[in-house]
Amino acid sequence: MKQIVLSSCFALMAITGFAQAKTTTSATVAFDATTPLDALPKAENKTVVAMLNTKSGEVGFEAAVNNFAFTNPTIQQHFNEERWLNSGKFPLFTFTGKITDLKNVNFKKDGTYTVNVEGTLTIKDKSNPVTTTATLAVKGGSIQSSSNFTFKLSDYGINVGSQGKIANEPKITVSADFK
Amino acid sequence: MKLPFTRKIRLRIFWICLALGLTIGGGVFYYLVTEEFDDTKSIKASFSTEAHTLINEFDSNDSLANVRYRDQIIDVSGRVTELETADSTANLKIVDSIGGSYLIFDFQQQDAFAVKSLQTGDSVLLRASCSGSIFSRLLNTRSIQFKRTSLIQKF
Repeated sequence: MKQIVLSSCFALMAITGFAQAKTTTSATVAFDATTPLDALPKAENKTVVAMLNTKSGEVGFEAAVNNFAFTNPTIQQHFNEERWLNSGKFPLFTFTGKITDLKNVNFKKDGTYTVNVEGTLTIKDKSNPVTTTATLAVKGGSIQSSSNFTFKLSDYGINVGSQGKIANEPKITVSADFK
Repeated sequence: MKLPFTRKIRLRIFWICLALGLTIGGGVFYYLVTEEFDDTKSIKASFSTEAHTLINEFDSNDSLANVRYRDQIIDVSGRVTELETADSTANLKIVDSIGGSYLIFDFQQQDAFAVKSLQTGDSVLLRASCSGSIFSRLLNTRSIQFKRTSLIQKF
């Protein structure tokens, strides 16, 4: 009997927790490594999995490296090859983190909230801490979130040379609509 | 000073070769820099398959399916399970209701308007570039992703 009660409690907790986790499979991650010398190295991936837990403040996204769409085929090929993102071996780049000041957000009240996010960005199996801010626009129960940050390519073992055609610290912009 | 005849010819050949090299090099560079992907609709598909057959292939042997389909243009037919807003356009999803794996299609700019005419339940034929599959830890499911999708036919 005790076991049944405990199991029911865990199941209820799991269901309640899951209900707070909003997900989408159509978040967008924009990658921008352009410089004054080259406007080509930028792309968007619009099929990114993203998650926001309104109860715990946990956030995360998973982007398929090979689904970044560049306008230029050569740059896209370079982006996926071994010395860059090596998408054949490392198909995902991921971010997992937490909103550190969740208490300032009222998900039941329409409004725009700016929050602080701390987490870990993993590219090519190398993880580094990321601290940034995000904007959460709450409207009628749905949440539009957006954030941007930069990262150093060298922190992830990516060497793009010193010709100045590719930014050493590309900008990542993440946006997601959670219904 | 008058150059000897053979030296004059050599110098002329050098200048012609240099001009030719610069022209060809410049042309190749210009082509690579300005090249863009063709309209997916105009590219011949390497494979033609049904959505659930494709999902089953990835579910049964992910590695083999990735080798076969990654970076290939594929014609996929199936019924729209979901249309999900993505930025200013929408993504089309075909979900396996039993296993949970799904195909997701991001449309090329030329087809952004066409996708807005679609509804859940519509049968479609799509042509797209397959980016392979990933396993999502957040969703605990497999997705097979496509980019630069074109709507070939709505049945």
